[in-house]
Amino acid sequence: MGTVRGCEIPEDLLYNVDNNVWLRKEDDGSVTIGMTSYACALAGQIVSYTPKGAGKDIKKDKSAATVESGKWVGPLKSPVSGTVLSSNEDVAKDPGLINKDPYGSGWIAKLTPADFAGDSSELKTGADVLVAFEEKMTTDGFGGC
Amino acid sequence: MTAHVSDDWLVVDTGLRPADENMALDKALLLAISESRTPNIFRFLRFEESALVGYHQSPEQELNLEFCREQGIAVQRRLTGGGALIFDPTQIGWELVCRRDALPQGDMASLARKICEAAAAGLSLLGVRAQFRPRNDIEVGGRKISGTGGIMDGDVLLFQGTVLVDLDLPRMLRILRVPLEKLDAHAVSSVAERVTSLKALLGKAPELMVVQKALLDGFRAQLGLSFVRGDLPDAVAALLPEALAKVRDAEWLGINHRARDDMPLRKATLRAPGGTLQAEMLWDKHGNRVRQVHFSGDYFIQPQRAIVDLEAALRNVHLNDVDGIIAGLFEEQAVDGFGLQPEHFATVLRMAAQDA
Repeated sequence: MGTVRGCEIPEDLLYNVDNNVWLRKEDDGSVTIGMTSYACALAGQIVSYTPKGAGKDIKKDKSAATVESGKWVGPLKSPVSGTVLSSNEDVAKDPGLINKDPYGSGWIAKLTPADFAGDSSELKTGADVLVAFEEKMTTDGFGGC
Repeated sequence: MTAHVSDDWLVVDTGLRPADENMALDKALLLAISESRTPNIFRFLRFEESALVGYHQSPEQELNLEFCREQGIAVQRRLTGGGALIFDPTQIGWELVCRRDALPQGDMASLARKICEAAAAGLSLLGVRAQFRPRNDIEVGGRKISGTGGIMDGDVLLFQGTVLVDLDLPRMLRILRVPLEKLDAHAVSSVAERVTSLKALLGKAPELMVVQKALLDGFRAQLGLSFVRGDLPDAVAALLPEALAKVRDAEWLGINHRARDDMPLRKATLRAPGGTLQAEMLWDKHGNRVRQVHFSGDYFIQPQRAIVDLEAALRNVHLNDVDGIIAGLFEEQAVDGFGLQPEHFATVLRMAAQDA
């Protein structure tokens, strides 16, 4: 598990660093997406979660769900285009799960990607992503998780 | 064009409008800023009588829709977070729509706090002692005078607030759902201990332009912003018809539809060493969240404002988190409940939650 300024950033996932989201390719070809621990630290305790419904087509970098923390609303932008397979019922019941386990039980949505090879080529992973998050945190003036 | 802290903000007063136009303008402003078609905007807005729910709220749960229909009160959904509120033509809305780098760095809670402190500093210029109260209220002596909320979309944001210049409390209680079983004179006086207006504090309502100037002065002094007044940019006006169609679509108001019965009013009474403590609360039974709570009973507590601060801190909080929040506030304010302890507040909330 990689760490940047105290924020866990698993190196085996794919990331859109600008949008602060992660993606995991599943064995069945679907993808799971979620908020990074850095995004959670910026947002604070998440109190609401409204996902796009199953069957909805999402374009790359468009909202797959909306979350709320401390009266701030924010979209979670999908790193790839695709169709929503499912949203997270456990998070709907307890949005705080996103903060507690952002890369596990706090996932945001599962999608069937439309063009995974094309869309994922722009995503970062491995050691590169740690460098990219370090740069982002410097730009954002972020002290640490 | 990229805006920076030193750039002038365009101050736009869009005047008195229906709620749907104001919500559509919010959408249009965010889009125009994200496409760098306008400078950062500080907007003043007013509403024909309206009830607005927060982005994640359900109008069925938060409002008395039948009363709204009877009275011709518009119902709309904000883009921003937070709770339901009413607007009438006496109130002033203010909002910043800008690129993220136009405001101080930091996490979202600290940014909201800085914006609220700037607004509070402005309101204080009118002769009231306004200050920030977590989470994102501005209050005077423990009474709320302004509520706020925001949306952050990538590197653009919109953060908005109200100013209660005048307030018809009995009418407000008929529009908004509140955690009170009986809406009688006692309820009105109890809510009057929690909400106030500039008119109530100053004896008369200040002119709108005076309030606008004070707010701008607060933002100048606290955040170093500079302003120039102007008209709504053509680029924003051009986006308005499409945005208006979206917020007028039933789908927009129907986001997050939830049944009223899924957020019942619950009540419990606890006899504790320090007295009798009653909690009335709007309870999100699926999410296990305290949505709003009102404490009453027969007890002494110092400082007195601890009760309303507790109620503010406990808005939209998961039942598992109430103990920490209550204990934290007791410690922070050195609360003396004369026998009433933090665990008694947590217990009465649990009792109310279990009242299935």
